[in-house]
Amino acid sequence: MQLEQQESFEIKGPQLEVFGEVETKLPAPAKKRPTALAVLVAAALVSVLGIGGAQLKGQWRETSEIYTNQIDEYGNGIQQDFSSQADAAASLIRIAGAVVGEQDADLQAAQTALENWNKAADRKNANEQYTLNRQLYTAIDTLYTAAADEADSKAKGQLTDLYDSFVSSQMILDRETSAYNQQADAYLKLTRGFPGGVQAALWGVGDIPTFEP
Amino acid sequence: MNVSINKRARRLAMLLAGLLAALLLALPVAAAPQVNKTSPVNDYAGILSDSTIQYVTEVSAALQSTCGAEIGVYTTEYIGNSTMEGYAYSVLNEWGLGSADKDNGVLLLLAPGEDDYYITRGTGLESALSISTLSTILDDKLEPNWVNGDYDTGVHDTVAAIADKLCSIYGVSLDTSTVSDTTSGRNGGSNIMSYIMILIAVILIIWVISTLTRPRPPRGGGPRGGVGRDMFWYSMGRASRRPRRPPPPPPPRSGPGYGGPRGGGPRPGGGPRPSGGGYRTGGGMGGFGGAGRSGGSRPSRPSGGFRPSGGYHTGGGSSRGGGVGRHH
Repeated sequence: MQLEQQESFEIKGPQLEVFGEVETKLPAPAKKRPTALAVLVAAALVSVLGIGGAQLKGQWRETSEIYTNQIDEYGNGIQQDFSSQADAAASLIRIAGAVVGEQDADLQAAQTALENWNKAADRKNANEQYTLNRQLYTAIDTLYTAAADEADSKAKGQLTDLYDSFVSSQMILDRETSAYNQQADAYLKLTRGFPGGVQAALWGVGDIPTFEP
Repeated sequence: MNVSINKRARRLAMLLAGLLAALLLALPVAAAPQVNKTSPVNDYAGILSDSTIQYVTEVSAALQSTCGAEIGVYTTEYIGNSTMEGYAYSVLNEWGLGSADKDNGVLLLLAPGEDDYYITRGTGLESALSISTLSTILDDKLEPNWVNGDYDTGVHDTVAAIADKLCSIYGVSLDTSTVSDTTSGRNGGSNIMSYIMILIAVILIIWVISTLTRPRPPRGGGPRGGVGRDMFWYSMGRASRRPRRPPPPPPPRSGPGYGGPRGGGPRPGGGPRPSGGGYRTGGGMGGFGGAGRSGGSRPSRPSGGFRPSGGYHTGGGSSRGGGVGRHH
């Protein structure tokens, strides 16, 4: 039947000659249009779900590392700044303890906040650390205010220096985590749409926690 | 009676509206900070004297030439809805203080209308110039003068202390003879160069005189007098007795090697003239005590585009923020 016969056509151009040569060597079923269509669809799926999925996974990894591992040329990064801030908090708590006493409620609250922070530090979960960071900040702020009122000039100077360092770190962290959140939001927007959601499921990449409540 | 009451009410309403409008216009607007990048001092509050501005300019330029670091002083009456830290962050990054590869700028932000000040530094100085150090400098140098309204002394002492710290960080020293409190600071560095220039000029004059008065060998025999003889003949116009050659055609343009118009006649020594040849005296050095320039060599220019003849430009440094402010 004519419909099943392969249509004859003229090949123009050296590039098409290559494809034409290849096609002539294919088995008969492969030369049909439905077969070509199926191949086309398969190629599209491979590119979208395969290559696109790999790209999405790469984006997931890069965005995650901004929060967990990334450092700049000076060795600064979000986790490093958290660590510096926690050090300042620990030193402030120690000096404040000598001023207000170990049984002081503000002091104990600050110690608890710091312990909770230290326990979760290694997990590097942005959402979890957001809550703990805010608790620590509030506790240290309250403790500093109370201790500075009672401290002598020397202790007050030490407390103020440490509090300044603590607050300075917080300001830098706020800016860094805000930039991280933007990247994370861009990734989450992809994965909550199509075909990002399918790609994420196929490649086993999940959500990225953001540094916010 | 009702009409007059209505008129009065209308006038009162208009007066109140006008007052409200004036009040709204007078409120500080939270606009992005303006930065003049061609000067290390942006005194928008108008609280600093010319001598203080000059001092800070000289110190910042000297630092830039030695280690790329820069100190900027920014004054503004109000900062609008921003925080001092946020405002300082915006200013420093907009200004680009410090070199781009070291991010070693320091910004001193003064807001007398807010009765507040803040200091922040570039990312490259976060470890070396700690918050504690900056806080101590502010407490010791700026605060005592701030409460008295003596902004000039406060800024001067603070900048000096910061510069001292930066010098110890980078292991450099500023040429203190070129940085002074008075307007004569700009000329200090050029004094030594002036003496050297005078000495060289005296030596040259003596040499020329001795060459001119040297007995000349008879024409056609004996060794040539070398350059001195050529100078003598040239200076006496004897060169004009040589057959005049037509002026050579202008050379093809190949870069900045040639300077100035070419005159007629042969030129002793020939060849291209190095660009910007000759010495430049202290006026061009801006009083920073650097080595004099000769025709063939220039002092290496540090990253950041330092131009000693008044063309201050920041180096493109940046900051992550943070810092320390006034302890109220």
